[in-house]
Amino acid sequence: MSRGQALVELAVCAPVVLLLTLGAVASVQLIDARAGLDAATKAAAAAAARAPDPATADSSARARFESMVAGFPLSSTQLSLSVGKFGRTDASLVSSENPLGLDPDDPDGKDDVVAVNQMHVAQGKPTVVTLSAKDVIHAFNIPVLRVKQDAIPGQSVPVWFEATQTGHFELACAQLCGLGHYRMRADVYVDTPEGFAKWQTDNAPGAPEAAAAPDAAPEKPAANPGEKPPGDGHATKTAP
Amino acid sequence: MSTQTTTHGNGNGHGAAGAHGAHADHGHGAHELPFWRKYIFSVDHKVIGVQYAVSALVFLFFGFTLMMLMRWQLAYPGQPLPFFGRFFSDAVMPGGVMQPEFYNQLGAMHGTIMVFLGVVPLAVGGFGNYVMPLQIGAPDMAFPRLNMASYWVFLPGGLLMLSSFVMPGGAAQSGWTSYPPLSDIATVGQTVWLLAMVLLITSSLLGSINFIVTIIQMRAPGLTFWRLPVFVHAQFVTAFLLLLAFPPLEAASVLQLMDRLAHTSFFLPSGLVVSGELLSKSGYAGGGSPLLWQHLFWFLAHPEVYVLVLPAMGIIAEVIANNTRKPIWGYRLLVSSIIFLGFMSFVVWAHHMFMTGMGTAMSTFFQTTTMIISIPSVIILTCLLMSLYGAAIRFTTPMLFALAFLPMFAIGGLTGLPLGLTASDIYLHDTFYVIGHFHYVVAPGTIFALFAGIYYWYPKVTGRQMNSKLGKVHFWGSFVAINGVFMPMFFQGMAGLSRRLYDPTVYAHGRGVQPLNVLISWSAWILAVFQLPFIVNFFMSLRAGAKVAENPWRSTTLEWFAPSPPPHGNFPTQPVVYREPYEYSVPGQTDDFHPQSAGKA
Repeated sequence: MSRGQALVELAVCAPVVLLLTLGAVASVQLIDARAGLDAATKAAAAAAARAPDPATADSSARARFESMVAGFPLSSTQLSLSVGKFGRTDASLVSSENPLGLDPDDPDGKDDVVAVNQMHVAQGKPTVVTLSAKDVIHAFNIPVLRVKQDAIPGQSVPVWFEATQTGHFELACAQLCGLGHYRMRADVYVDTPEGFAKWQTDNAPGAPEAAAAPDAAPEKPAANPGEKPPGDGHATKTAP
Repeated sequence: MSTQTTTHGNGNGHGAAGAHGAHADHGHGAHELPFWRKYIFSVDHKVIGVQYAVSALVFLFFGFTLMMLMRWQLAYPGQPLPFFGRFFSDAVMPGGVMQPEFYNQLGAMHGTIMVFLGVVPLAVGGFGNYVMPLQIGAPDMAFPRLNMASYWVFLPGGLLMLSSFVMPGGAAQSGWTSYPPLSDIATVGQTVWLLAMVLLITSSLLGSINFIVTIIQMRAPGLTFWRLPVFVHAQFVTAFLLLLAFPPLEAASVLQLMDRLAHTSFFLPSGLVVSGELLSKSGYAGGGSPLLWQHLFWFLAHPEVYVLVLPAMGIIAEVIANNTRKPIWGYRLLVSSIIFLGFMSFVVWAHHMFMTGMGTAMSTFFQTTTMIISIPSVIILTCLLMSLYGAAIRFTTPMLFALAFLPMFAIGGLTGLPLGLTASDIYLHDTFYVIGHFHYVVAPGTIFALFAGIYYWYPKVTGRQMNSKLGKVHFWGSFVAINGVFMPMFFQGMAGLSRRLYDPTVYAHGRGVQPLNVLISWSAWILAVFQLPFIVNFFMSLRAGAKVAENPWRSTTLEWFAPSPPPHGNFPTQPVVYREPYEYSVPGQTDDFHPQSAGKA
């Protein structure tokens, strides 16, 4: 009797103890996550303070990634890089010459650099990538930068990272997107801020006729990208 | 908890008694039944169980074959498949070289077949149907005709699923998860996939309601809930998971069918451009959300993981108790954890969706629930592990598989934690690490448990024992080879290699770990070779296996006190239960086992 009674009580107590433990674990987790969130917010704020203000068109570190399976078997990633605001895009304007469907009449789009299957970013600057997709779900995945995020049609998801070393890396699609999924890759070049500014100047849509389009005049490179964080091989900061 | 618990001796008998009266007429007329009523459209739970098990084993073997084909392409990308390549049409493997679309079909169908046509029907439809009514001392399921209907909805669903390989454009190729918009614009194979899923889910729903009613209503007198074998508890929780989790996917499948056939836009947002054309020109209104499908799908598919693993844990508990000759350590804790696991499995689904851009508050919630659900899993594993302590273990074939289950499931479970944490998931999501993780849970975990179950209950089903030498060859070969398959996947994943890649050598980080792909593929083919002893053993023992009496393993639970094989109606006389399920090595008893149905000592 007493043994059975004890077992019953133990069985009744066990879930209670378990729930209390779980509650404690959950609280710690939540507090921890909250602290992490605060830290990430602070870090983002610090990074934003360090980075030139995108709104004043002084920053080069803002990119837009869109992707589509152009013709069913062929996958390609399309990126536009913008200083300041992105130009308006419209799906009905998409063509092989205009893969992102940029509105040619929008002044904001005059300085947008459109690149297919390659992405240039500046070393030591936070890069904000706004992800979307035009046909199916893709994913923006740069393994060496430890950054990955789905690109979902109908949604616009920001993700940011900061590359600390220059070099040439791989950008891969990480979400099954059709026959061409396995070769939907792009190249990521992390340039020095000077090199990045030069690339941007050389590739700006208005570059050859800069005089005709004054609002697309190339920017001066950002003078000082800030202190370079200590590198440890793959050292980057990422946050979704 | 090893001794008899007298506080629970009486009660719950009345529910069982009422149900027996209603089904007592099953014994009549069994001999007049024509062949097709007795063996094909049978209402006997044992025949249906065997039908499920055999169909599921065939489907499992088929799904395994698909994977072996994929492994050729992964190990030797772009090279023609020797010898077997000639059996495929030029549309899928011209000159024996696999096409990317065929690779994607194999990938999607391997996952679908293994989960929905293989493991679930074997674990629930097969073992659940055959063993559960015997273990609770019932003459049959509560609704025998519903049971038959469930199988005869399952089989057409399965065959329909396989038939999609001969559809124009081939089978479904959008992954077993079938994420829209890709699946919405895929070839006709996807429509067939959806139709087959509707049938399979319907079958599971019919089965689950039957299981729940049977376990509640038809237990033998004296068989209280705390006297049920762990396997029955596991089936009970599993049935609730099936009942509550499958309807959302059934609904989602119908919605996706509507998207594909009636050009609705449940999962299609505005402004889609497909093949350079605006989708709205084809009559799609847009305005839907691709993420809706993901929520509906994973709301099913995460509890589904526990549907796969709970019956396996139940089988392992039976085999371990029997072969350690000891009661299960912490029986009530084990059962409570199974129930808690069932509840928690409904609030973790979005950890599959951390990459979809959900806010940090949401991802923190699902990260927390995911960490919590690991606790009952660890408790279950600890109970099973502690049961071994101090035991004189009989290393029979089922026990070998059960012992292997413990570390394999532990590896599978613990490697899941980095995936449940949002930060580490950023890097590991959709890599081979994920493949390694869930295969450790399902293949050397659940499938080993199912093998243990087959070796364990084979004498009950056939009246003959399986050959233990062949069984041991099967076990050791499979155990070594299966680790060769899945262990390297963790390293590939940590190197950043994505899953679902037709040719991993396209990427520099894929080329670095390509030699591991060769190792994995050869391990997989060797694994296939080591299934031959099992297949030979399975069929040979039907005729040549040593004849055994009704209780060859000297077990305590009720199913061993029906004749082997049990006749229609199962028990000659209604068994009555007097004690807990695992009364092994009770002091003062002449035998080292004390059956549940043996009269009061």
